[in-house]
Amino acid sequence: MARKRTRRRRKSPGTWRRVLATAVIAGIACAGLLGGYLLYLDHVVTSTFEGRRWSVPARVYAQPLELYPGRTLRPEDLVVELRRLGYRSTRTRQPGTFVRDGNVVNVRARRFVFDDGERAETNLLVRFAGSVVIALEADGRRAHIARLDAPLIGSFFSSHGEDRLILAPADVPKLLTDGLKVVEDRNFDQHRGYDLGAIARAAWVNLRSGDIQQGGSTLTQQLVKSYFLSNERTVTRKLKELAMAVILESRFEKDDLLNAYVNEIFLGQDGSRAIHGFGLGSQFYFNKPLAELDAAEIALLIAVIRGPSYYNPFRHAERAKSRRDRVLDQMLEFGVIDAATHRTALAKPMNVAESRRGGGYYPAFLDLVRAQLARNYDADALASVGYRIFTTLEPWVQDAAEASVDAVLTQIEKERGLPPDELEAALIVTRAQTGEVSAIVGGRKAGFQGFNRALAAKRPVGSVLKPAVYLTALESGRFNLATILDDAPIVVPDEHSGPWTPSNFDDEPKGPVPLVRALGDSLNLATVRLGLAVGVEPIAQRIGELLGSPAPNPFPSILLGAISLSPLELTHMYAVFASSGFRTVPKAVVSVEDEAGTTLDHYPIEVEQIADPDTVALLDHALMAVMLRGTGERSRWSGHGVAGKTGTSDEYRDSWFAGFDANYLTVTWVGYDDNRPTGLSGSTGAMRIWDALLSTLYPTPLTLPMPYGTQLEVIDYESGMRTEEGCGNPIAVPVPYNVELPEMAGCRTPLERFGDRLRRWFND
Amino acid sequence: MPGQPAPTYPDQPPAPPSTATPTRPDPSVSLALREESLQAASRGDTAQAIALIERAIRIEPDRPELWLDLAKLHLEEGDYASAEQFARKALLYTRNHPELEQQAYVVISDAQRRR
Repeated sequence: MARKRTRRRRKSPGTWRRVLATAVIAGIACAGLLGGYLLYLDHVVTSTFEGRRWSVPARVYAQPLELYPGRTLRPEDLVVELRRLGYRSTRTRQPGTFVRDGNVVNVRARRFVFDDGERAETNLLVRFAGSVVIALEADGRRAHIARLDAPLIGSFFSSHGEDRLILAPADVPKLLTDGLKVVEDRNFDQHRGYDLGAIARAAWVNLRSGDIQQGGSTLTQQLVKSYFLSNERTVTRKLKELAMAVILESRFEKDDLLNAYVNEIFLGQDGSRAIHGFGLGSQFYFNKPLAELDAAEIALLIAVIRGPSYYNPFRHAERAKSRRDRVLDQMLEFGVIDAATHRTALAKPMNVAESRRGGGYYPAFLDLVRAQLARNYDADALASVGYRIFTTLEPWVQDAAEASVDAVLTQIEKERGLPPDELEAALIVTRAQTGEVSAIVGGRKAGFQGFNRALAAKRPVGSVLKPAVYLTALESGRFNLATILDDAPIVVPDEHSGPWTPSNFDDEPKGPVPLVRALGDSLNLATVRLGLAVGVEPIAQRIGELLGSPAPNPFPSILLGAISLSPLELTHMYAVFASSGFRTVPKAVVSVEDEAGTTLDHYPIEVEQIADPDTVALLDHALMAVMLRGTGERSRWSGHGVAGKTGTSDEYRDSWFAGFDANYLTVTWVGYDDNRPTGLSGSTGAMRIWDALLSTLYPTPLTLPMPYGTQLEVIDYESGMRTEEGCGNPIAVPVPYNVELPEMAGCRTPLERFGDRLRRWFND
Repeated sequence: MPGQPAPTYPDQPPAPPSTATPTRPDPSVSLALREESLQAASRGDTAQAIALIERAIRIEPDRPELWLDLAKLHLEEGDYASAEQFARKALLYTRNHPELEQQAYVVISDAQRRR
């Protein structure tokens, strides 16, 4: 801050000599006190203001939408994303606008600073064919890849809630500063901190109207009031304000004071968040940067200053608009805008942005960001020093996830006559190969900060844990997908709680079944027998490794998922299955930058192989069979190359589903907070949310490798015997070469099959 | 104990009019980002080079060249453990690319030797 040295008005010692001696004695006592106080004020005001740092909360950004030829995206999806960023559909060719002509969208991209560099303003042309991007041009030249701005998804303001976006003097439009002066402080450029004329004028106007129409405080006084003082209305406070304003004016340049005002002034309340400064004010009221506001919009921001809650344009539209119009009149009267601009501006509606969500539009995701940052950053720094945090959230995935949770729960309650709005759900979507978190839903009311079930609710997982048992079995080398298991009643001795007699979900033992069906139909008896054959101890060990946490106690009941996990914890395990045996830790933060744009931390992609890819491929074949033939059969994505597993805890208290395609892994839970039964199984509850979500994500089919030493065999899903198309319930699974499979009897004779083959030869 | 009933919920509506059939990114996308990454690496900006490859991996996670690039960059950084893991990840996708498979094994043995 440039300190002004020219205007220090110190009286010369000579002045005092002319004063009468008697007055000196009386005067010294008073002046000494007052002078001392003023010196003290001067020190406080000057040092505070000089060394000031606006408290700037860290801003959190989601992933930018990447555009490239071959990307699956519809023009309307791009438009949704542009609107999220506050781009307007208009042909004015200004930054922050776009035009869609059928299959071509022309975007005038704003300047944006990403974590890996800056993009200047760019004229972006995106061509679509149906739902695919086929070509890109940037400033008239063919481009391979481009991205939109990273969407701002929240800020970490502190408990007292001040939130702001700092503007440098160059970022502040002249229209705003001129308008501010005209409306709030016409003599700003001349006065020394106070304006007697304005005070008198205001008093006269207010007296006449019997209402407070005009302030009379200078911008400097308003700044002092907001920056240094409390809100009480007393004479001493007013005098203090006056003295401080004079001190500020004598010490600092007008431009500095004006810029401070622009960044400091209170413009509205958003839940617990206080909107300070015009930078954030513009985002809050119009969802676009200040530089893009027109005269009508700037006038509204100026209008709001006088009483952010009284003139709240969301709540008191009429009142706010008529004050805006008065501001426009004054801007015309004093030549800030011309008559034509005035006319157009008056004709405009207020155009305020749609409802906001309390500064954190995605509180559940921000919880994870906060948790991951807590290792390296303290909360005070996050709330004040203006970091920029780049995260992995994909807002379009998040929006789809929230919508799916809401729609499916409402539908389930309606279909089943359950009390409305009581079912709860949680969901996490991660990128299967990198572990980056695309979306988190922490509860049904996703927009509100509240109990985050995705991170914090540990619930019994049931059968959704079973794949860990099957992986351990396949890893032992003693079992393959066609191995016949006995789904027959069993009594398991248990020294802790006496003998345990597990039963199937429908209480019916299924007899001999292939391993792939035991998992696919989630058969408890076959699973317990398999688990006991492999050993509960090594399975418990493996569960711990897959979860990245200490192994659970090796009680036989863990074979059927008798442990409690949060959706986030379960995500660790399925991430291994969804990425061919690599552990990825769910990650929300990509990088953190300081105010100057220097990268403080980059959190790299991390993977660690903890299982053999071939064995995981076998398991994944079985998890695909779940979706093709087993408990996931009724998914609308059955047959689309997806894998998954359902889970239901005792008495239908928890409904689980974990599913993945080549790109996305999703873990979902549905249940009641008070733990009462829902009547929902994994497939009738949680899986339906995933089903709905995938309608937006659209699955990319898994392409599982054939594990070495195996060949595809078509077996009957029920019996595990070798069969063929049209006979029994055939499913193709990889089976080791050296395994002899029993032939399925009773369909057709080998001779008939031979005849079939002959006919095919002749027909070809 | 847990398990599953035969699914009995009312018939699901058929899959909605497909938002889109998945498509593959044009190969030029990864090429462009790898090119940029190479430039960053050659001026010594390994962090930027890594960030660019990570960006490409978000777009095309099953392209072995990208994981291999990432492995080599981490090898240069002296992060041998990660280098080995990324090379192993590349191996998931090199079944039809013997040349890349060779490179991945070279990185793995380098990383193991220098650890």
